[in-house]
Amino acid sequence: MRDIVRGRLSGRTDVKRLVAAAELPSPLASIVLEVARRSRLWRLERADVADELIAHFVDGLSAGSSPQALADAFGPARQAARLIRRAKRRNRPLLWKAWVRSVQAVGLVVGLVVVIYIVAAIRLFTGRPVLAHDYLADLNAAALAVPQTQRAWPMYRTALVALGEIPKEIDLRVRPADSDWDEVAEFVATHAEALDLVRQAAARPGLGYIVGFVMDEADLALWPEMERYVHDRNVEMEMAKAGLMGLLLPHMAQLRKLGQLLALDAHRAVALGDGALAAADIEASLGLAEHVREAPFLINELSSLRVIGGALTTVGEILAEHPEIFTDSQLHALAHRLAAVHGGRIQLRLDGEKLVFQDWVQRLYTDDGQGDGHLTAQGLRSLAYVGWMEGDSSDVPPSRVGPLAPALGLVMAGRREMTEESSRLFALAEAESAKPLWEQDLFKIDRNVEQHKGSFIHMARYLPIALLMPAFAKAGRSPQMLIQQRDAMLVAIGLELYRRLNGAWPQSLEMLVPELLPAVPADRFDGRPLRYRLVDGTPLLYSIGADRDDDGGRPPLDARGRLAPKLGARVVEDPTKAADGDWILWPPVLEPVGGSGSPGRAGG
Amino acid sequence: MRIERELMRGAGPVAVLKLLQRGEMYGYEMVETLSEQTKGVLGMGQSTLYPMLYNLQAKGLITSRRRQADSGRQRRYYALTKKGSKRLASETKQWQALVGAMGALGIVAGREHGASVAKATPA
Repeated sequence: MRDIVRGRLSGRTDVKRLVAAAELPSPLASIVLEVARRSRLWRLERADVADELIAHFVDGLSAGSSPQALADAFGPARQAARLIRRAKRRNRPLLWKAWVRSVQAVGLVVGLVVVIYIVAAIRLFTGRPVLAHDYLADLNAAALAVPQTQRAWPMYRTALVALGEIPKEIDLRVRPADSDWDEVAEFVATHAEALDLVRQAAARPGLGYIVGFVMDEADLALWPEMERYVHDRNVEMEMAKAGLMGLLLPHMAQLRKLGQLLALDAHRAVALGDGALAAADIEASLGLAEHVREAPFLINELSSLRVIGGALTTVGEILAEHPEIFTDSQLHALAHRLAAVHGGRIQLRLDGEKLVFQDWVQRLYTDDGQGDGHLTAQGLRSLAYVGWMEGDSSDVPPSRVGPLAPALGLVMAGRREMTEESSRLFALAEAESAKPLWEQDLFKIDRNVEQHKGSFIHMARYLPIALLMPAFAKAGRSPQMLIQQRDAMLVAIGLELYRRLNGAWPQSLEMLVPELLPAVPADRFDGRPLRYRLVDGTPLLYSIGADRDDDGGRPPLDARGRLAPKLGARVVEDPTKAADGDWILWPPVLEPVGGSGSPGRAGG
Repeated sequence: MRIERELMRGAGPVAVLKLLQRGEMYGYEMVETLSEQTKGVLGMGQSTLYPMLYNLQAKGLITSRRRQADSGRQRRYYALTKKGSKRLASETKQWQALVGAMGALGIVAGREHGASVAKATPA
């Protein structure tokens, strides 16, 4: 039955069988077949057309027309087929028409996308970045300005070589109260000559360390394992791929280590009763801190603040335990020196980061000479290389850009917009960082940067910012924290001098003004004067700390109920979630290395 | 005389609609009738007629069905729809206006020509 139905149906739609069955003369049969074939209609439609044409010719023949006359009257078969196809398709169902329109629309969109992709690819792959400016020279400007004979780095290097690798058992964080102190003090005493060289170096006008992608051969005495960075050109080229992100800064950790050794030497000097040496060590730490920030990178700035912080801690500890070690004039000199650190303006400096970003912009984009340009494949490869450096799981760096690169070229902000956005963020960070803690909201800046990572499109648009912009919240607070510590030490020196003059501690800090202090410094957390109390006849200087409420000079406790003085200064986005307690500034709450905190002279 | 293709494109559909106003017709019948009644002026080959019929059908002006002709053969008959009737009325007015205008300009012989067409086309 099925076969019969199929046979009938296929018979009805088989044009050749229809024509054959009609027994039309050859020219007319050819016309019908050609029109049906050329019309490229559906099978049933073709059969319908053929049926109608056959009937037409049969009627013509019956009316006495000759086959040739009928063929001539028909007109060109090709034209008929074209017109019939067009007209028949107009009769097709609405659903089919909608489908055709949809396919056409999709085709159009796909075609458009392909065209845009091709144009974007041509634009991306033919664009060439122009390295018009030597930003590395800008970064090294300060170092190069130091005359060879006045450069501190060769002296530091000699001292570091003499110090050799510090044995693992020597913990540079210990203090005289700790059990390991004798061992550390002996190590420091053994290397007194090297530390003397460090003090001489710290007095020099500049560090003179040239940063770059290759290493000075003379530095191999310090880092023999880095030999390939001196001789291997491939390494240099490889590192240069990442722009100024690939710069070598191995000296930073070494200089910070020298700062720690100077602090230890100051304590050793105190134990020996040598106030001049202790003062010289502190002075050298401050000189070292200036050298550390020679290259204007954020990491240098933060390292410098850390070295100064170490020196301030040492001053605080010595003033608390052995204030008599310093003469009045040494204290005055120390106060003036502390007031002058970083040229008297402790603030976040992002000059290096700005130069690195500008260098990235010239590596990423073409330059139209008007401050604008578009992304290049070459620049994108460098960016991918940085992504790989920053923690891509692959073992080998990317050698070419992916197929989505042209799309990224369309989405990513142009040279001008990228430059403007980065400048906005840098300016915001600098401005916010310069505000006291009670006014600043550095998390706002990180939120701004995070916003660029918020969505795929946004991240793609500002990919270099998302990838290269440092986190500011913690870094931006550092200057304010150091100002607080520095101001506290100026007060502590004033307190000691007052005690020497008057035989007792002052009842309030206002009593130090103006002879020993130009003004009572502000608490950086609320803008009010630093808090001061006498507890059992001894002074207690503190800030209200990160929780922004006055706990009467009580330091915070950690989760186990142990003293955790550092928590008092740990800023969190929501102050109500900060550790409950104050930031004890002086005398310090001693926190032995590796052990629980214990109250200092007046800290508990 | 054969009419230029552009003119035929305007006149052909109206002529077909007019033929179908009388009743159902199949393709060959229309070709023959048009040729006879217009003395070959509006005669058209199948390569023009059938696409025209399919187009008018797509526009809903005519409809078609297969049925047995008087000869006993199966034929596809076309008939005017309501929409087709309205269109015919509208186009007839336009053609009359056009012929009137042409007559006013002396391009067509006015009454004489109109009379001959009227004679040749049964109401």
